[in-house]
Formats: sequence, structure tokens, C-alpha cells
Amino acid sequence: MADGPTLIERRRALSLIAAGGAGLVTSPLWAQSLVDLHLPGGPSERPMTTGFPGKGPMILQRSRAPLLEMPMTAMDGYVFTPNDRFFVRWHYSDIPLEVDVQSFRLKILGAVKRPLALSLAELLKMPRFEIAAINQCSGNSRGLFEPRVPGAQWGNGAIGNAKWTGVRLKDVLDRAGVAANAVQVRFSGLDTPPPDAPLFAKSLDLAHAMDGEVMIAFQMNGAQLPMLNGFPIRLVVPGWYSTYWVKALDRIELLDAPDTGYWMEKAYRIPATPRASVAPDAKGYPTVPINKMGPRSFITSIADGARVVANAPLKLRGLAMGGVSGVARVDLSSDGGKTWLAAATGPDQGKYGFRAWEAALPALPPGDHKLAVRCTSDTGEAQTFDPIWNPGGFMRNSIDTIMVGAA
Amino acid sequence: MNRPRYLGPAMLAVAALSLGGAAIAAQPAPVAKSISGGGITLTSSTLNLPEEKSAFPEGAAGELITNNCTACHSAEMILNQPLLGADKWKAEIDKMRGTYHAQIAPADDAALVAALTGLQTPRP
Repeated sequence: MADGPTLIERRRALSLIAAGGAGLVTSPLWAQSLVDLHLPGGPSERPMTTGFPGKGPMILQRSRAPLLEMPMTAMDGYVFTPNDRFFVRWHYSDIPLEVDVQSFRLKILGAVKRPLALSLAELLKMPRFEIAAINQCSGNSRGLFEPRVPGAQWGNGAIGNAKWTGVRLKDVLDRAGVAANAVQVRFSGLDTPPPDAPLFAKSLDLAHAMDGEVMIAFQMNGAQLPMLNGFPIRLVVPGWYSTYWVKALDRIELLDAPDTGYWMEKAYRIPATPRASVAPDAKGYPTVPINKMGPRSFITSIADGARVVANAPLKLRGLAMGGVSGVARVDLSSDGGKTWLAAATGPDQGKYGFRAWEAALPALPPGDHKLAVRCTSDTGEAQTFDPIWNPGGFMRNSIDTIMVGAA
Repeated sequence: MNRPRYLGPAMLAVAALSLGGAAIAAQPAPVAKSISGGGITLTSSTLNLPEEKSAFPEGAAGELITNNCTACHSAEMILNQPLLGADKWKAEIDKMRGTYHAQIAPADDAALVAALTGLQTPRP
């Protein structure tokens, strides 16, 4: 939030919106049913919903095809996101509504020596692999882009961290026998497109697919996947954005030429520029498929606009991620980034996952204060205040700030 | 909406209930099928999505948007967009028709763009 209205002004504006101009006072019922994502220029409010099976209270971005965002405060105190708060994102409305574990098959075909149709029972018999990894939508925080861009208008909550249990993709591909002419591996799931629309399919280079970390998960956080998160199995691509983490994965095709499908050639492309950023009027720059994530960090213990006690140390906590490497350090600022204080980090539970942090900021004088949190990854990449921009609204990882009012 | 690929007994029962409205439809008892291996059990699952609650304002403009856009997605997708302006709304229509084969008649484009921009009250 850059130089916006003061907290009191903003609260007044919210009250007016909530009252619908009828002059009513903001009610507790309203407070429970709407959330403000603070998207610049709005519309910024979304209803909370508990209507989706297997999900607790979620921010309703779209009911069909479902887009459900995790409220950031639901992450408070959790390195691993509870499955019932994990964000949901489907492209097409025809999503799997019923999966029979007996008849389900994962097909492996194309440039392989032995095409396979593996049952879940066969997958359960294979050597196990487990990894902690963050699943983050390519367009997480798109709603915070300025100028704004069309698309799912997420706040920061299209992200979650889980411990994924399953099998290595490499082991599955070895079982089928990768043919010498294979160059890429294409993944698709049980969701089906409208008539004549392109099947949602994503591809990885063969070397990446065979790296021993890309995996097929049948459990997240020790339980089977919720239907909305890709039951019975989904691809897990540690360190990469979730567009590749194909849900309800039922087809793996080895390709003998790079994938030229819509979802690789046209969609989910980023500028081939530093931080995937271009000027809003730029044209004709080269693009590449979106890929690795960068460092991010979030304050989870208080929300934007919170009131805090003045003249007393302010304890904060939250989560940080390095992207494709671990978290080296997390720093906090209570003066909008002029000075920084190192936060204490919790145990490292895997370089692809969240790392908890906590800090006690020096006493704040009465008034409004801009808090900022900054992560530096193990590769030395640090978040900066500079906002990026690209027309897809992808890859946002600039420093997040929240305003608090001390009194 | 297309026919779901896995149309099982539970869904058929739901369909029978909603179509016939019969209070006493014979709903087959759900069969809890599961498989296990290596200490992990996976159980067959279904998903009953909630009813959509969002809609466009009543009137001709709202009906035009409903009829052209909500075959593929619910109304929130449009209601939650930032101020886009006529050019960007037209680009969205072209994308929906060109890529996703949305059944939008080109003759409706001008009216649809006007309806979409009219939907977005300018914010200061």
C-alpha cells in the first residue's frame, strides 16, 4: 500500500461500502462474510465461503471454475498449510466430480518403450518419495499489479506449502522406458475443456522431469489430496510455479519435439527480461514459459490495517521462501524500508518450503507505520521494493508492506 | 456444462433428484471403495460443488453478459476485474472466442463491450 489513505480514512470508506449507503453501522456479520484484499483501485472485497467440500473458510474469487484463495492469517503459525485452507485454482469448469480409485489409471505414452496404464495400487507399491514444497500460482498477487491487468484477481493467498508424498516421476518414466528421441514430457489431467478449446496440458524438458525431485503425489500433509487440489494424484514440481503441478494427473506423454500447445506456446509466458518485468507499453520483447519462483515473505500474525499497542515492542511472525533455494535471512522494517532488523528463522524443513520467522520490532510511537518484510535466498537473491510489471500479472515477488496504526 | 467424465451412481442420484424433484428418490447407498499399499489408503471421492450465488444486475445489459459469458465461468470472474476499458474488454472477448471457442456472435461485440464497461462504475 503506497501512500494510500490513512487507516481511519480507509476504515470509513469500508464502513460506507459495507453499509451499502444505507447509513448502517458495520455489523459483525459483515465482518465475517467479506474480506478486503486491498487491491489498488478495486474491486477489492470478496466474500468468504465455507461452501466447498473439504475446505474451511476460503476467499471466494470465482465459484466456477473454482478459484479459492487462502486468507493469509490462516497461515499464521503454520509452516505447512492445512489441506482445508490450501488454495484452489482450476481453468475449466468441467472438473472431476468423482474419482474411483479402482478404475483410475495413469497413462504413460508417446516416445516410450512400453506404454503403461498404471493403477493407483501399482503406484502405491513403488518406492516412496517425500518433499516439502510450496505450490504458488503463477498469478499469485496479480491483483496488486499497477497498472492492473486482467485475469484472476488474487491477493497474496494463491500459495501454500505441503509435505508431498508419492513417487518420483523419474521412477515412473524409467518403468515405461524413455525412448532416445524424447525431449519433453507433457502432463494433463481429468479436467476437460469446453468443445474445441485446448486441453490444459503442461510440459517440462526431459532432463527436468528426470531430475529425481519432480514427483507424482498421492498425499499432501499425510492425507489424500482433496478433490479440489487434484485427487487422486498430482504432479509436484519443486521450486516452479503451480501451472506445472497438473491436478488429477491421468496422462503423461513423452514428446519427440517441444510442446507447441496453447498452454505452453501462448499462455503462461513471461518476458525474457530481468525479473520478468517490462514497461506497460512495451511491445515485441521475447518471452519464455514461466518457470522458477523467487524469494517472498509474508507477515501472517497481523493483517494490513491492524491496530497495535504504541510504545511497546511489537512481536511479529510470518513465513518466507527462497524460491528454488533456501531462506538465508529475513529482515523486518517498521519505517517503510529505511532501516532493517534481522528476524529469527525457524527450522529449515526443506529448501522448497516455507520457513517460519519471528521478530520483535522496537516500540512504535503512536500513529500509522508501514511495516515491511524482506527475504534473501541462499543464492543471494533479495526481494526489492521495485514492483515488476508484465501483461500476464505473473511472478510478483516485490517486498510486501502492511500499514498498522499504533495507539 | 459438459457431461462430467466420471458419471457415477452418486451423481446420477443427484441428477434424478434435481430433475424429478421427487422427495423419495431411491438413492443407492454410496460404496466406499478404497485401495491400500505401503501404509497408505486412498478412498474414492466425489465433489459436490456449491450453488453459484453471484449474478449480474437485472436488465438487458446483465442478460447480454450472462448469455454470452457464463457458459464457461461464473459471474465473479467479470465482477472482480479492475477497470479495463473498452479496448481490453474487446481483447477479452476476442480471446474467449478465439482460444476457447466461446459462442459469442461478433454482431454482439459492440453491445457486449458497452455492457461490460457499463458494469464497472468508475472509481475515484
